Amino acid sequence: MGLASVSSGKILFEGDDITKLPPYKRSRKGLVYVAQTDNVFKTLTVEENFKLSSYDLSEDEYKERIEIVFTLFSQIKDILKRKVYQLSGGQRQMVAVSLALLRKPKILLLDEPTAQLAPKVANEIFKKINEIRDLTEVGIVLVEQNAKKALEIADNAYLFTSGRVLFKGKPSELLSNPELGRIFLGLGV
Amino acid sequence: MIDPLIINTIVYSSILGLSSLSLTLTYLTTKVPNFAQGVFLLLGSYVTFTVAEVLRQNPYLSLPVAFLLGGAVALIQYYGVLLPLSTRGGSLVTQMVATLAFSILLYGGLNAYASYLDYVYRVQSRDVTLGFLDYNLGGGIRAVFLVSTVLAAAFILSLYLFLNKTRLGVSVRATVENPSLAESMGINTKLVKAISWFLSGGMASAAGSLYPLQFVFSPTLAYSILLSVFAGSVLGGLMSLFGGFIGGFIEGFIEKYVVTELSIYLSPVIGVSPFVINQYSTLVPLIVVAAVLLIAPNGIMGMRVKR
Amino acid sequence: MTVDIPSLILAIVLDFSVYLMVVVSLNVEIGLTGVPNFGRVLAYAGGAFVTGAIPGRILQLVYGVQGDYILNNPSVIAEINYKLLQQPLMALAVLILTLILAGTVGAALGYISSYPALRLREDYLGILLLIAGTSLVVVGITYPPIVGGTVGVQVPAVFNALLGQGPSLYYKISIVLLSFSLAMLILFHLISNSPMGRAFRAVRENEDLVGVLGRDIGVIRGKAMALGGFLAGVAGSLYAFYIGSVYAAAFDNLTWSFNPYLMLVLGGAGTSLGAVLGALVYSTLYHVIDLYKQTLSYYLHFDAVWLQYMLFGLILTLILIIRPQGIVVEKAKPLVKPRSKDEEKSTS
Repeated sequence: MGLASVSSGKILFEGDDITKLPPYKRSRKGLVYVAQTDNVFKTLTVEENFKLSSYDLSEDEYKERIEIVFTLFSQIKDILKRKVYQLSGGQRQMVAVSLALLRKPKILLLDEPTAQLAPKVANEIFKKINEIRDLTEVGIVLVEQNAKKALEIADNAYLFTSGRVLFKGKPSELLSNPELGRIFLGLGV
Repeated sequence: MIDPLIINTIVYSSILGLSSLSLTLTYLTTKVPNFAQGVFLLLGSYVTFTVAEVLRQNPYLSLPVAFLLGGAVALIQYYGVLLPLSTRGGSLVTQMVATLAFSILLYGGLNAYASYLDYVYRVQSRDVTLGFLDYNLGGGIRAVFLVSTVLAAAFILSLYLFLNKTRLGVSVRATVENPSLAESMGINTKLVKAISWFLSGGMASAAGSLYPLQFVFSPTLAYSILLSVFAGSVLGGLMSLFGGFIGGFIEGFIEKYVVTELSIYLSPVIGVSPFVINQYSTLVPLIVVAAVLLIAPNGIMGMRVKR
Repeated sequence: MTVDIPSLILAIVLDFSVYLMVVVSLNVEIGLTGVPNFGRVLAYAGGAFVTGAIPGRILQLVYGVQGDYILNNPSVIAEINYKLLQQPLMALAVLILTLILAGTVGAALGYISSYPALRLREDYLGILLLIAGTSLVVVGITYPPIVGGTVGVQVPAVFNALLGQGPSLYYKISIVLLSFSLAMLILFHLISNSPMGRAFRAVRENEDLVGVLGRDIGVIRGKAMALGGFLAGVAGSLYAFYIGSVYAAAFDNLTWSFNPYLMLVLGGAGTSLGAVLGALVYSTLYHVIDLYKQTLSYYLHFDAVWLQYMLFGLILTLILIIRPQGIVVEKAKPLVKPRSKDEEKSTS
């Protein structure tokens, strides 16, 4: 996303080298990041958060995108006027993901969205991620500790250690490979 | 006939309020207290001085000039000093020291200018006041009284509208609250910060441009008033711009009005002339900051119940 | 134009030693412990004020000189000096006692300043120390009984009595000041390499960790600031004796808090060599410009002293951008001695 520094290599997005691009430009290009925490403006209302996120959208574009958000998260309609700091953890994550969706992302980077959430809520999140994929055709890069659940809904899987790709392929291959399981758990490399 | 003390207090408090506001602005956006804030005030004073004494024009013409010049210099400080330093990972204290170093550079420059005026134009440029050039409005009021209050109100109102009703202004608020989130939302936080520095330098210089019309000024103002500006910001709470103004205004009120009234009451009691007691007004910033940090560390605006 | 080199060097050395002592005192607080003390002038003025207020009054008592110390200061001091010049041992005693007292007062002031240091974040702490710095000076200016308010006081001519009047007096004073500053440098070096110094640096690097390991950060910071204050107090006292008078308004933040801080940053905080370099660069720059003041001012059309300010500010700004650690970079000192090469090979 550009919020951390690059030590080596290049980042290509739709054929363009965006390694040196500042974060806000990447966001405007369609690469949108949802951080693990601190991903909403707490002192603003949900609606104000949405307005902020979509401030470079036209009226029509905003209406179009907000419909998508409402379809995915129907409860958001009820909490529009609430200040975010009053919401529960699960609700905040919903708002955070909605903020990203409002930006017409081509790729959505989700950073451990289920961390710090109860298992039931986490399952809801994974369901939602599927719905987002089906509804909006956005590419989703999901970083998750909850590997099993994540692999169940993913099309492709990558295993990183210390910034290097150790495995890329189908989730089923990753799930059935005990060696990689050990590596994931940090038991030797 | 309005009491001259009240006039002095209101003019000073308006100027100080704007200055603390400007300090809080850059503190909120870039997290750095700017040690050069006092020098921006001095810059404004010398713009007025130049316009009035050297160019012999209406002193109030200096307002827009001071604003623009102050803003420009602040941009130089941001792009030339702060930004490179923070990109290279400079710590907070290092950035503070950088603002100090820059202030010395500016201070030397302004003093050189004052010296230049002396050499070339034979104009006395230290320990001067321009009050005599002001317009008399009757009842003991000079124009600067009106201008300072109107200017303060105008800046506050414009800032309010800017921050709440414009896209850019809302981006400023977002950047203040959560810079990396703002970036993720497509907000160019570097530009936002630059704009905040421009406004901060501009406001401080504009406020400073009014100072000579009421008071005697000299280059040492840059570092003496800095203490009051910091105290005002700390009093306001370094958390909101409005708080910055309020804090600065109250600080000015204490320094001028409260100390003077106190000196009149205390004088017979401890047998010291009011004039001497008044000299101790330079201790007010310390007392205020110490009191705030002990009693309500988040300042006046922070005393609301925290969520 | 003939350049009077000896005078130039003397002027530089005098300023250099004075500033070096202040910079070393700051190095203990800023360099070792990471306390951003923007109000150094507090302890420094404290030491100077002690020198302006105490030795003269004591000598006045001892010699039975009539008159008010403050109001009749010039004549009182004149009489004191007349007697003092014939009693170098008395002068020595006065010097030593005053230095100890000044150091103690400085240490106390430093220690008091450390009180808020524990609970404040660096930006607030820097601001508080900055504002607190000139508080003592304000009192000194407004309350004449201490050091003569806006008129100032003269100080007993201890150096004259000890070193003899005559044309070489200031050369001898410069040697005295240099010796003291050297002593402070050695002291700094010893502190830096001592367990206390390691504790200081630990607080600088990671205070949370220090707390977790069971050391009281407040106590450590208090020691550092008391130490720095002590050195500053002694320095202020020496300065007052050297100048021969104490004028409260001369102890401003710019000269005695900001510039020394910047000197330290320029040279490189945390190292002795850094302190020396910083003070040296500043003093040399000042006096070289001062030497060519007439010519420079003529061509610049403004007083050349401001050129020095601008250059110093510019140099500091550039150094902070290009090389923020300063000219001399402090080498990381491991807490544990590294194992020898053979040992390392056998364990991995």
